[in-house]
Amino acid sequence: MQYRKLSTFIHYGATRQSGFTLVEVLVSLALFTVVVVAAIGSLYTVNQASTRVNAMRTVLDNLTFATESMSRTIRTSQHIVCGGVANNSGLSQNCPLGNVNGGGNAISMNSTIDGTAIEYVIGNNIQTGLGEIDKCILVNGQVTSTSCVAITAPEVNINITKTKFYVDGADLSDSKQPSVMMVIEGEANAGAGNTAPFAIQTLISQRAVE
Amino acid sequence: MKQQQGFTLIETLIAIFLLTLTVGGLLELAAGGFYSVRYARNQLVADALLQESLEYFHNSRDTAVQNTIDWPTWLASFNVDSSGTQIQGSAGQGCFSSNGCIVDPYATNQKVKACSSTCAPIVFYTSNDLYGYTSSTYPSQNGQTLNTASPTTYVRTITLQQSSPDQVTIVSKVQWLNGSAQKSTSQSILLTRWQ
Repeated sequence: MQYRKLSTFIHYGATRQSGFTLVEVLVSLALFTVVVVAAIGSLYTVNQASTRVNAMRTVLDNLTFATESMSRTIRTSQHIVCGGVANNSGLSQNCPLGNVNGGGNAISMNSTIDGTAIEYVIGNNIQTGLGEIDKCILVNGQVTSTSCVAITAPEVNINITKTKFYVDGADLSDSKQPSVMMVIEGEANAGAGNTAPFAIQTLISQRAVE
Repeated sequence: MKQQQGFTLIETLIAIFLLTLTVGGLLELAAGGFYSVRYARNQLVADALLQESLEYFHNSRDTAVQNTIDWPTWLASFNVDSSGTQIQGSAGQGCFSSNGCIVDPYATNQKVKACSSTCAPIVFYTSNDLYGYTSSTYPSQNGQTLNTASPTTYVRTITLQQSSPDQVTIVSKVQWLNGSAQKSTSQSILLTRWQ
């Protein structure tokens, strides 16, 4: 009796054990893997994207700063000279669009705020070889090795053949208010081959009446 | 038969829907970041173009001062038709009308032109790296002729409002398309009579 009962129990128990079959477990594992890979993949992508977006934002902020800073300095200056100190005294201070010598890669001026002589120079960074815009404080009318500082970030690669200052009206005889057309072209680099080209064009009119 | 209890179709669909929503939301966030970067870059260009137009008026006024052109004559030079010719007799046209006008500081002549209903979009001349208008003529730069302009979505509209005889408010507005969304930035300056 006892034996039969046990046997019956075992018998029933064996049929009632409703676990997962091997196939079910395999299928659910596979599904789980697919879901987790997709989720982690998307998290990774989002993380990468946010890093790049942040980097690009910083670069663009720097570019805004550089443009605004130059605009402000030029606006509050006088005696603007296209070509800067490298310009020989015999040449015109002007280099407007359409001129044979149209556009200069340097520009110098005197601040009307504190009288400082300032020069902006477009050139290549000695170390990285990338294009940048430097702001130089002139000492006795000369650019010294320690007086220049880059105002564009290393992530901004300025196109030095296309970036130019076009000065018009700076000659005293032309009875025109001095103005500087500024063209800045280049590429903002946020790393990992993520670049954004830009072309900025603006005009600045000297505030002090000539 | 009764013991086989899997998920129902509805449960499965809800689970998949939720998963898609989560992953989709995350990716949307990432795409939004790139969208805002493009917006920031375009805004930088738009702000520069905005400043360009306002500085042109500043420069034009200061040049008029040096050439002893009087205030009414200077103001009348912005009362122009769509080809840039000054309209005699009737005031309130060109830049003074509600349609506004375009300015092109680097054109050889006719730098200010009235807009009909909407202003012409700004184009970019890649050969000379110049933002301008297709209707303008430019001085040849180092003997180089302008190539075909590539279109941009920037539209710059300038309107002049005379609040009193001795002052004029210059409002410049730059609109552009960021993807398919219309964005705009605007600024105004007040210029006063100098003599």
